[in-house]
Amino acid sequence: MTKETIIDVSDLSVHFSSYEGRHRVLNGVDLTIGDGETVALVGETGCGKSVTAKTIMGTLRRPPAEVVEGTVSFRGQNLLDDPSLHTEIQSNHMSMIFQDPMSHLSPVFTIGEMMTDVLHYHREEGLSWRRLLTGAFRRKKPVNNEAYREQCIEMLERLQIPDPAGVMNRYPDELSGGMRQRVLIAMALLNEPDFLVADEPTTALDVTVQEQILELLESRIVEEDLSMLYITHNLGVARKLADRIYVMYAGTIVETGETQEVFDDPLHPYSRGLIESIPKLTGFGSSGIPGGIPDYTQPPRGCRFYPRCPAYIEGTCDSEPPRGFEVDGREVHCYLYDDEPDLETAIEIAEDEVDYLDYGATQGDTSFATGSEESS
Amino acid sequence: MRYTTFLIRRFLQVIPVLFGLSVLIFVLARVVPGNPARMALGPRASDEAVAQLEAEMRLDEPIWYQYLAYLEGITRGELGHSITTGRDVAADIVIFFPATLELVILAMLIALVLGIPLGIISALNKDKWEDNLSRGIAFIGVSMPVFWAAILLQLFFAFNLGLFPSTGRYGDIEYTRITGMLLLDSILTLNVDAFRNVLWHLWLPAFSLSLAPLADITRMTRSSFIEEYNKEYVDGLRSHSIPEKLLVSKYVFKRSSTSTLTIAGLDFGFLIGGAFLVEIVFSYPGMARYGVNAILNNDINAVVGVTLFIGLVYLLANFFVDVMYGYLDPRVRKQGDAQ
Amino acid sequence: MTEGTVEEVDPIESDGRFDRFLEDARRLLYRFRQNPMSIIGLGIIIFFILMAIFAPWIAPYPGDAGYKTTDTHFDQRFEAPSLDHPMGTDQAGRDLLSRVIFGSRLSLQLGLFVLVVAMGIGIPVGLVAGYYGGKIGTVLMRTADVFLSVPALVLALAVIVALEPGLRNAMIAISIVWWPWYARLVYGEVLSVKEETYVQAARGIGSGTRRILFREIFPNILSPITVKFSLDMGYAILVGAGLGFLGLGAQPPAPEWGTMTAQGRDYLPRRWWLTTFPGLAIFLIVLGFNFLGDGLRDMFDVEVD
Repeated sequence: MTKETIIDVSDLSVHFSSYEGRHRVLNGVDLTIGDGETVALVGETGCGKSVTAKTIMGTLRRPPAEVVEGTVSFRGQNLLDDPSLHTEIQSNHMSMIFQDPMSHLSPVFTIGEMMTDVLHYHREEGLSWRRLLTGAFRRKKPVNNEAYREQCIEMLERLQIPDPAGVMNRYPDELSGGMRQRVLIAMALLNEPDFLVADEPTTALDVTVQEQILELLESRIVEEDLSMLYITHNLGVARKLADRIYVMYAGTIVETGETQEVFDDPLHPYSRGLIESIPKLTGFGSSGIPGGIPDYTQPPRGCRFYPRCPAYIEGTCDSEPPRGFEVDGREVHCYLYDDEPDLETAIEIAEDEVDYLDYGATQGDTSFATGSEESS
Repeated sequence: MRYTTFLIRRFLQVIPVLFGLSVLIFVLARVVPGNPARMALGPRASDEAVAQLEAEMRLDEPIWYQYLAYLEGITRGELGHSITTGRDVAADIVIFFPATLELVILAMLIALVLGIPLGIISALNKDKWEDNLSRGIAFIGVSMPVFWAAILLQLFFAFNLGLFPSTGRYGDIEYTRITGMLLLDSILTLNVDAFRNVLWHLWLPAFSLSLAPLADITRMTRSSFIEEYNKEYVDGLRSHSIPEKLLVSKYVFKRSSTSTLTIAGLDFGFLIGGAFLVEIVFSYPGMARYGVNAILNNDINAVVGVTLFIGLVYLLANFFVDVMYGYLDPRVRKQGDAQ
Repeated sequence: MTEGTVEEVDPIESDGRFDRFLEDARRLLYRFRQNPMSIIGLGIIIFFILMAIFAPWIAPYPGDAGYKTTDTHFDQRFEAPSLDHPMGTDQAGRDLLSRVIFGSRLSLQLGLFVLVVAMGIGIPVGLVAGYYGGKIGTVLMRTADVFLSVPALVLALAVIVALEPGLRNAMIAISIVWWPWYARLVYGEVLSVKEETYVQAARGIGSGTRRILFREIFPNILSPITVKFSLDMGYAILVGAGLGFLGLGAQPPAPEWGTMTAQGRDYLPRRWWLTTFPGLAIFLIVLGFNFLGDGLRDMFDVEVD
């Protein structure tokens, strides 16, 4: 990694409290994103991807969430200790787009109203009640309102929205899903961010529209020189977009590396299962990972994946939390590679040990790991 | 002009209900034991007069014919004679209704002006002492019998402290009647003394009347505010760096105000009902007190007239609420379209 | 909505229905106890119910609180609250405490009667309107709208004129005013259940929609009705007391709280206790039902009108 690091998440642990008890959701997450780099965070629904994103963005509700350990820094500035710095950095340098554009837009305001508000207020730190009130009751709108409007229309144009001036006067439910997502992306780009978090932005869309949105997003990223954290459970999308990939399972990163390398030779049993479970065109040979995400109030001791792992080593995996082992520049959190072998040996180990077809048959369970859509 | 179509459509929906209401009240007036004409004229009326009214009411005709005659009378604004005041019921309503309307509107204003901020403060400080306090107030407000609250306030502020008058609508003042709503009239005639005097008389009745709606509005504002505040779009806008104060005062507020509005519409009915009790306690010369007297004296025409009129006012109030609703939420307008 | 709340669904273990019921009950109870107000509310209500049941034994002067006739003690008129008469005595020298205690019978009776009748009419109307829909449904629900188009107290007043003032007629009048709320509640619920995909699926394969509908509807309306019942008990008691206060409900000398307040009003401001204590009793019992209703609302997590 020669590039400058823009986001550095280190050893992040986040817990949630509810009446059921304490959910230990994130468990020591390490993640870095370089300048201009697109990084994908993949994993099945409920594995903690969105929590990671919200922690970076500073929109995590605390409580019920609580950061127990770890740091998040933006260009070397630690964000978690200083909420006001976090807000400032977030509003000037970061933006986020979401899975469901409808529920992320207020249904009772026009697109234009929301967008101009974002432009108008995103740099107002200590907005006073007085200013708000006088602003609300002033008959004449501020002079630069027209300028804001122009800026918004221009941004909508850049996202290839037809009739941008008309869209400004519409309500979210008068637009199609794809248009809404474009609007949301436009809104996210209004503050000219350096870093964008995309939380499954295409999952709720039609397949044909997904493609368009992805291409638009990619072109924006390139043109505006953005860094992006792309969260998804869709491995195809991750492969298409990302320079590097992080595979997450139950609040821990299990494997990370260059996207192509990870896809070609997944090493961690979970990554292997995930990639194998993509239905192949031949219709054969795809398998799933039996079981489901563990109960976060009582996560398994040791490796959180071991109850579902076909290669688990008794006495080790169920008691000691795995460290990262380096294999050919990649980091794999699995004891199969605890002597840090070279790539070829590692691939051999993986192929020998990790066999979901057999394992699934013995478990009598065929549920697929890449399950339904992310909900939070 | 979708909003206009929505308004027209919504207004047309009032008509069948109004029609149904006239049937309901006609039935009630006709099941009264005894001769309706005799009842309407009172015990002291002469036999000839009764016979004449019998003919007018077409008591010998079939019931549907009687209904049509009655309906025709209503549409011409003829509500019959009141045996308690000896005047036309319609004229009585014109005299007494403005007083009640004034009382009810002031009570509603108090409830809204206090209830909405209390609800928001409660929501923003969920489960802290501010929340517990305002929820406590809300519980007390909805549980107090209106007349009891009125009596307690009267005892304390009027009789004990002497801060407010214990009864009546205005003191020894000169005023010019225009609308019959004295506050409005005194503003129109720039009569400061009259305004202050009338307001001074109104405070206690209006405040005791406002307690229950105040509680309702606080509770509803609180719960809808909390619900809206947890919606994803709030997180979304927050991530676009919209300041918290703007989020709360504009985005969350507008959405949650529709629920507040709905409950305020329902409470309007409660206020009219409650006015019956409060006007008695404060000897306030409004329509409610007129209605109660009519009931106690078996003044059928007056009762029918008052009930019908209140029904009409209540329907219009709810129509007004829907109009506001459609204004606040664009999707409501479209639902009107789809139907 | 945390990512942590992942529920484990095991299709093999579908036999543990009873266990699940127990689990649900335990969770509901937990939620109920989380809200101290609901416990207080329940306490208040139990207190009043016991008071109503054991009135003749608790009241120091039961003879002062008859419904049609009472004892009178004109030599003890208007005695301020004292150890002998904790709430004082009224214009006929009757012990106010005894009358307030007996009054709980009338109010509870009124509330129960009104709600039982209102549900007895409203629930079937809502079911029929929702199930058959079409013209019948429209007519029924429009009728309900008509009843709702006049404020409850005002309509009850008009009904009483057609009958005659008195406690029984007050109860009838309030019931007549009350049923449309239940019709609406049930109607809405039936419509939403009808929309559910599994009901439509069942209809698609030709199995008994009616059975499914009824099996689904009752569990669904049970919680909103329980909540509404509790809140409405308080509200109905308030309306009943209001009628009494206007002289159109229970007639003197019946120890009805609203009626007693109205009579005491003639002796204000000096004999403050005559209006204060009966009113306080109404306030407390209504507060109890509201506390309980609110607790139930949190427990079942439903919103009712």
